[in-house]
Formats: sequence, structure tokens, C-alpha cells
Amino acid sequence: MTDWSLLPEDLLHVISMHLDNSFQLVHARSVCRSWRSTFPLPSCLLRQSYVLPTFGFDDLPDESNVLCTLTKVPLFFFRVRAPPVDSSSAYVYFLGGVGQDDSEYHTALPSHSLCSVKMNMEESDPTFTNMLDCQILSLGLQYRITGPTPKLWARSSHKSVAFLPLNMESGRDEFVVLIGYSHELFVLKSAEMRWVRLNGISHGPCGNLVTFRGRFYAAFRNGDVFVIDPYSLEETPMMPSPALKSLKYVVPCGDDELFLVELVIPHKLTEVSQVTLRVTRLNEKAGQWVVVRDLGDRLLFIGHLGYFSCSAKELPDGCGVSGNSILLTHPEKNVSYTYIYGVHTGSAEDDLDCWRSTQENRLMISNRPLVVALEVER
Amino acid sequence: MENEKKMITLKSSDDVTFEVEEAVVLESQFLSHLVQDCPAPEHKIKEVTGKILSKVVEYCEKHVVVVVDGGDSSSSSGDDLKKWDDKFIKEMDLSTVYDLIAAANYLNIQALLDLMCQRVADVITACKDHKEIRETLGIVSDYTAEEEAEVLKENEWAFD
Repeated sequence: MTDWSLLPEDLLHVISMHLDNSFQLVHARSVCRSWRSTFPLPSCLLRQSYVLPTFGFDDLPDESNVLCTLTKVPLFFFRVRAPPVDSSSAYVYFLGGVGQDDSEYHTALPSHSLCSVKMNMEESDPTFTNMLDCQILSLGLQYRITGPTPKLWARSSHKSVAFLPLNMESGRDEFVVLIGYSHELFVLKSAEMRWVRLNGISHGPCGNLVTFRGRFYAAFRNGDVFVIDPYSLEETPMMPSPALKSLKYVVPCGDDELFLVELVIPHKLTEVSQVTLRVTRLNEKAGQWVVVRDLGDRLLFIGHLGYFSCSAKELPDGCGVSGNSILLTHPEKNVSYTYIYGVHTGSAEDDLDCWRSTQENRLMISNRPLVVALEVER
Repeated sequence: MENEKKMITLKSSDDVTFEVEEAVVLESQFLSHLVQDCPAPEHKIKEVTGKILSKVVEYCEKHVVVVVDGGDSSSSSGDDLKKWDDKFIKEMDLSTVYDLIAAANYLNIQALLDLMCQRVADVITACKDHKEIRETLGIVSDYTAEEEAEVLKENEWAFD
């Protein structure tokens, strides 16, 4: 009789490498003790957190012990695999931070299935979606600061928090945190554990901080883009050329590519289709942004959750979300727009050499501060 | 003049013999070393039964890359090979998969090991919960009631 629980550890590891996503690993390690000891809880699902001094209170003395918490939250894109039941229903997606559910509510429900994920959407009761019915793509990490934070620090301020580990000779786990707060940037080095204002950088709020290949990139509301070295904290402007009057967003694709997405809004805006995007990619060696007309199978997300991307290679055709596109979500209006390159507007005067929103597969969104649910209209 | 192909005889733990071309043996790193280090006409593989060795030989014969005169590769094309692999694993029961994982690991045939582990991963993925994984693979839970409750808790996730 074959005893699968006795399969040697290294072979179980090979099997685990073939599992689709980290939640399948949680699933598999629930089977028996030996499997549980072989498969650790995937570290990418754990919310690591750091206790830091808080910031932004002018009246706090330097030596005060008021602390806040910085938490690394893994972000995921869930595509509900089941096709819509009838023509009036739609494909459904969820985007957001996923964590272990500590509430008692979950198990109290008689109908809840194992391996489920709870959705706290709108004001209604939470719903449960069986993870096994979902295609799950990892979107990287979001950094949230909680605890006693100043009033201006809203819940969506995670867009202006970036974290980089430092490789120190001492071998200790040191890191740097950069935040955009109010009209300034503050930096904290773990060795010093205090916030320092970064001077000399752009004036104006910074709502977009990301990391790419070990450096910080910051896009400011006034259109400035800077790269910041985590060791020296030296700031270097990194503006695209030719300069456009545009809203700028930096979106990393892991450490492979860094994209700059610029929203060009015409002077007299009457409809959304007039908004165009210029997309450029960082050529790090040359220190230049290079115009991009094809994102390959990449899907970029820009919205209140942050700036991230995933490969759409594994998404099926016709599911309403596809590669080579940019998804902008506007939570305050409950709509989102998909931008693709070279859309024909029907008007001969319109430039084709840019990215425009398409009316195909319009996505409706419903929001919580930290989750986006998307539905493809049919 | 066509070169005579070098043939090697493999003998399983239960003394079933397989006569194969040397190229087939070279698919296994373990056997390649064995054949090089010890040029005997017959090699006994004590760790693998005849039933499993026949599967290993079948797999390696299919996957061997035969270079004919002119350098063209006459091995099956990628798509065909994938179809063949799919059929190969589909027709196999899980106990054979288990033995083949052990054999592929011992004989060091990475592609076969990956194929078999993918099959197990697919079986795990297709199960609706960990109880079904236990049933499918015949694993008896050795958790206490308390541990089982902890396991259940770990399977509860939330978007927040």
C-alpha cells in the first residue's frame, strides 16, 4: 500500500513547486503532520510587521514613545473562474490585500467551505468565495501604516509608503522606509529609528512611491519624478522627454521593468475618450524613459490600491481583463477604464499613437478602502 | 555504413530484463554514470521493480533525442511529446505515480520526476478540501481534534 504521508521531504518540495499558488500550499499542508512539517506556511502570505515611531505630530518631543506599525500586506488578484450563469450576470474579479481571517464570523457560518476567502464588500454581510474556484495571481506587496497616525494620513496613504531592505555588511536586517506625508517626504532608517524630512526634493504632495531594483521612485502631483538612493538618500530627477503636462504614475513590474504612465488631460475635457496616456519604460543605463507601444502580456493597475502589475499570460481570452493594457480605477466614481494602444476614436483628427480608453469590456467596480471588486459588463 | 547501436541490458529488482539502446539509458543521469564507470553488459537496479522499470524505459525511449546523419533531430516534436506525456500520466494509477516518483528521483531523470510531481499537484489542486486530498491519496489524518481545529482556522482568509 502506497503511503503518501511518507514521501521524502525533497520530493514533497518538488510537488509543492508545481502547485498553482501559495494558497494551494496552505491547502496541502492541512493534510497530515508530516506534510505540515514539510510545507511551511508560505512566507509570501505572512504579514510581517515592524514597530516604528510615529510621525507628523509637530507637538511630539523627539523622545516620545508614540509608536505606529508598518505592515507588509500581500496583494492578490482573484479571478472567479466560473463563467457567468446567464447573459445578465458578469465576470467577477477581486483585487486587494489578503490575510488570515481572525474573526469568529467565518467558522460560525454553516455553509462556509474550506479554503475560502471572505469579502467584506459595501455594507452588506460578508460573502465567501471558495479559493479553489478562483485563479489567483500575486501582485506583490503593499505597506500599510496603522496606529496613532496624524489626521491627514488617510487609509489610502499606503500608496505613498515604500520599503527597501538594505544589505549591510554587519549582516543585520536593516531597512529604509520612505513615506509621502502632507507636502513632504520623510525617511526612516532602521538603524536610527527616527523620521527625517528629505529636503531639496520636489514641492507638492507625493502620492506614488514605489521601489525598483533597490531604489525608490517617487512621482509628485506637480509632475516631478525622482529616483532616491536608499543608502545616500541622494535624489535625482528622472523626467521624461519631451516634457508633457501630465499626471504621472510609476508602475513597477517586479524588478524586470519600470513603467511611467502619463495621463494627458486636454484643456477642455468633455469626455473621457479625450484623455490619452503616454507610456514609457525606464532604460536604467541611459537614465531615460523610452516610449512603449506594447506592454506584452503585462497588465498594469493604477488606482487607490496602489501601482502594480501582473502577467495576463495565464488569463483566458475573453475574460474581460487582458494583457497589453492599463486599468485605471476611480473609486469615487465607481468606474474603471481600460486603456489600450492605438484605439480608433472615429475622428480623423485624433492621434492614434497613444493609449486611449476602450469601451469594450467596461468594468464596474465596487469598493472598500482596501479591496476592489470588478465586474465585466456584458 | 551504419554504426551498430550499443545495447544495454537493465535488470529490475525482481529480475525482469530490458534491452535498451545506450541513448535511452543516457536519459538517466544515474545510469549514465553507471554505464560509464562500469562497462558491464548488464546492470541490476535493485531499487526498482520490473513493473516500474518498464514505465521508466517506455518514457525514456519516447523522450530520447536521436540524432541521425545530417544532424536533424528525429525525436518527436514538442506538441506530440506533450500529448504523449498527458496520455502516459492519465492512464496511470496513483500508486504507480508514487513508485515512479521514487524511481525517477533515484535514477535522476528530472523531466520524468517533474511530470509525475505535476500529476500529484494537479490531483491536489482538483480536490475541494484537505479531506478530499486525504481520501484521494489514502492518507490517514494523524491530527488531534485541537490540531485539526487549528488547521481549519489556517484555511480561512479574508480580503481586508
